[in-house]
Amino acid sequence: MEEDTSALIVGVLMAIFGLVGLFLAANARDLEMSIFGFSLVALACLFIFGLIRRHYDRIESLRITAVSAATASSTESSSSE
Amino acid sequence: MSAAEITALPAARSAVVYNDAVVKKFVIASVFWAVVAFLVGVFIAAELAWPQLNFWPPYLNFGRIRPVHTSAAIFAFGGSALLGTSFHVVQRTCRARLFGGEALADFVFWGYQLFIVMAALSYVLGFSKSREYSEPEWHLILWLVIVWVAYLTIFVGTLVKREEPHIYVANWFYLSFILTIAMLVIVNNLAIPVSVFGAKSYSLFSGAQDALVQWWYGHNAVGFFLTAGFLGMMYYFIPKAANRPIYSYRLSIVHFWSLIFIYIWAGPHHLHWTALPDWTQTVGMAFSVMLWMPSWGGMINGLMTLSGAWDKLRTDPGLRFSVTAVGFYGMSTFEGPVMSVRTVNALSHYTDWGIGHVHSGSLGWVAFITFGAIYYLVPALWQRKGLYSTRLAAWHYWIATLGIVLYITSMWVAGIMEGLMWRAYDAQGFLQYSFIDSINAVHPLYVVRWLGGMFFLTGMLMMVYNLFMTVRSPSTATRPAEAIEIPAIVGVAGE
Amino acid sequence: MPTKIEKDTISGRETTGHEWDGIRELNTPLPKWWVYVFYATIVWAIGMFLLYPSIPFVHSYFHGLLGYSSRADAMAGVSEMNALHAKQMEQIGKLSFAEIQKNHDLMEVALTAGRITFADNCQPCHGPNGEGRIGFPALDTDVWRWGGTLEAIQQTITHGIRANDPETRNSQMPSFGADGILKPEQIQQVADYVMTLYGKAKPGVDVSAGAKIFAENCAMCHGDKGQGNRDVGAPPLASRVHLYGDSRETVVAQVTRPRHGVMPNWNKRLSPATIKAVTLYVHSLGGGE
Repeated sequence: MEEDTSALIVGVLMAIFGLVGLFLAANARDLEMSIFGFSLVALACLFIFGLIRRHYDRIESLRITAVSAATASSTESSSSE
Repeated sequence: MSAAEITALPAARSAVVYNDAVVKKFVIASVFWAVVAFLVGVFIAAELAWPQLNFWPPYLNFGRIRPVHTSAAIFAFGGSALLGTSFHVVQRTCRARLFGGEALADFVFWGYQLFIVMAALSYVLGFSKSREYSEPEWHLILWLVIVWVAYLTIFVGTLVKREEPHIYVANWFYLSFILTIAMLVIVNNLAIPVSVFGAKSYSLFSGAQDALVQWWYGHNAVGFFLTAGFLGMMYYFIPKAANRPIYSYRLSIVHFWSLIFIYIWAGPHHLHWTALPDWTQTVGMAFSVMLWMPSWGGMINGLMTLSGAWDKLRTDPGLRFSVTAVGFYGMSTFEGPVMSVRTVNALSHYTDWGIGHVHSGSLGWVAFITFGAIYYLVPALWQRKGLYSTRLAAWHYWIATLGIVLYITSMWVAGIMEGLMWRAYDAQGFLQYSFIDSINAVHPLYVVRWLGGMFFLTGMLMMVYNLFMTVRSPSTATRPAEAIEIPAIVGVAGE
Repeated sequence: MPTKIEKDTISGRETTGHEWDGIRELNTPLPKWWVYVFYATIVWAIGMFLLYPSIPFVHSYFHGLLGYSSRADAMAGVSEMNALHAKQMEQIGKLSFAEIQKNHDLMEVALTAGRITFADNCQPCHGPNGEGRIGFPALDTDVWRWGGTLEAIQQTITHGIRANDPETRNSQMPSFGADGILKPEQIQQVADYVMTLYGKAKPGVDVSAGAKIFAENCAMCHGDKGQGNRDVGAPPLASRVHLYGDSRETVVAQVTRPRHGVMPNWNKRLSPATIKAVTLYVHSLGGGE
């Protein structure tokens, strides 16, 4: 599924950026670089969390539509009897 | 083709599920940053008129806050509008969902917002490359480049997977904006960081060469970010709102190619009468004047597309903004070449006339075309019947226009006054006025300029309220999901 | 989607046949005036390239048929302006102040040169009319730290005060508080006394102790009546003109840890003739001696 591939690639990249940010913040020589590094970490964490959440939301909504379609067809078939 | 076949066409198309979520995010961001940019602008205008307002050094110093305003206006407000509308336009004119999935689109959005916030924070903390419109230090620019590559990937990927055989003109403008900005940002930011763990860096260039690299960048930031990008916006939102075809396809081709070719050479006009060599100044001047008609090609296409639909200006305040924007665009792209002539520049350089010119372009063209696009987009994206209040939008239009008029006239007068005072010699061959004399002379005009900015900000706050209520109010009931409407054109060639 | 050309009834033109999201384009030809003006700007640009410096070569550049050079142009303009006062400025440089003051033509040039030079160089510190501000002396009063004669003013401008010049004027007030020469309560007492010298004393305060401290520590520089001493650069205290302010806190602060201002030496920036012109101008501001 295109969305999942996209989420995986972007998620891995964000993880790398987050680690880079942590590294930058740890060795930062000035306040600005340390803020930038920590912001990258924060963005990576929140973003990856969002990707995971959306992945499971997608699966959930697919399951719900599949279930309701099955229920609709079963009520149809039961009412047509 | 029979009439029956024409009406059958919409049904033959497959329904595309567009990624509207990212466009909505960018629209909200653009509106938010507009308020920030205008508020900071009003504050620095006040600091210039009443220096006591620099009361919390160094954080509120004019020198640190000014780039917060310019970056917020250009990159935060303008950039969010460009990225958002480009995603909207490319999807719909290609009939294809954005390439790269939701994740990549969201990365572009949040990554761009991080760049904006970090840039502003860094200025207040005292970090700056001191290059106009390119102040963020090397690491923030590197991050921007990463986000930009993702943006280019999405845009080009969507073009590649398009269902329409041809690429609409708005997309040429957007693509040229994306590509050229990448080139400009990379070259202008070639620098050596003191340490990979520190913000400070030194430019690879120096002296007059460095100055030219900066102003090659600076002028083309205006040309490709603020012009080409927003022309892309114009080419979609005006015909959509007016429900009329673009005036001339041929003109769009010729002015597009001549514009993007000629713009690149105009940079030296920022460095007239400096240590830049005379020959470079001539090149900049000559190309800037040749740029006049290519720019006006955009104006003509924008305005003439309204023929047959001028009555809509009475009822659609969003369209009023867009059309006025094109008018200001024409004015600014005439003023620019005039100011690029060295003789004129001898008077205008370093004066407030430059600021007046910048703001007729940024308030009159960039902001107004964005307002027109957003007033159209918000009801469309949030599937509302229309704007919460067209009256409020009309009020916004008039207050904002008044603000622009106050701004640019005060700066024109100030600029010419400064230019004349600085060059005045008395009968004995001494300069007549000191620099401080000219500062004192323009003070009342600085107050008028601040007032103009206050009006523009007030109009923006009206827009925020209007848009908020459009989305939330029950009075703007939902409208059916966007049907592909083909405007009725009576008669078909050959019949 | 095949090309589907239609006719637009409003303009009478045909569309190009393409459509995107409902948007179409007309095949209107290029407006003639647009094309001609575009050509005209190109011709003009070519003209500029021919007449003015334009094309770079490897080691030089095409100078243009007019042989224009902005540098030469600027130099010509400066020479033209200088010529209007060159003779007079030369005289001002050579003659004495007394001789200059007798010559109306020279004084006119001197005061004009002095005014604009003052405006661009001295105004930021001393104020537009020499009225001074906190920390920067007023030049329009008859209270001078180093003297208000033409010669004294010329010396001050030329060599500065505490500047990077071997002949700069210098004075040093001891840090009575910071170096522990006087105790804090002694400083409070002498401050009360000093304020009586310029008539701002609080009524009912006994200043006898302060007067004694003043006589023992301050009078050798500032004079026994606070009249000041130009030889050592000690300002008069018995005056209504104050460099740092006249509040009690200011006096206490100055006695505790004295501030010493710096004035640049202008001999490296202004010609001797110009300095004389500024001297004459400053002298005319109201306090010249």
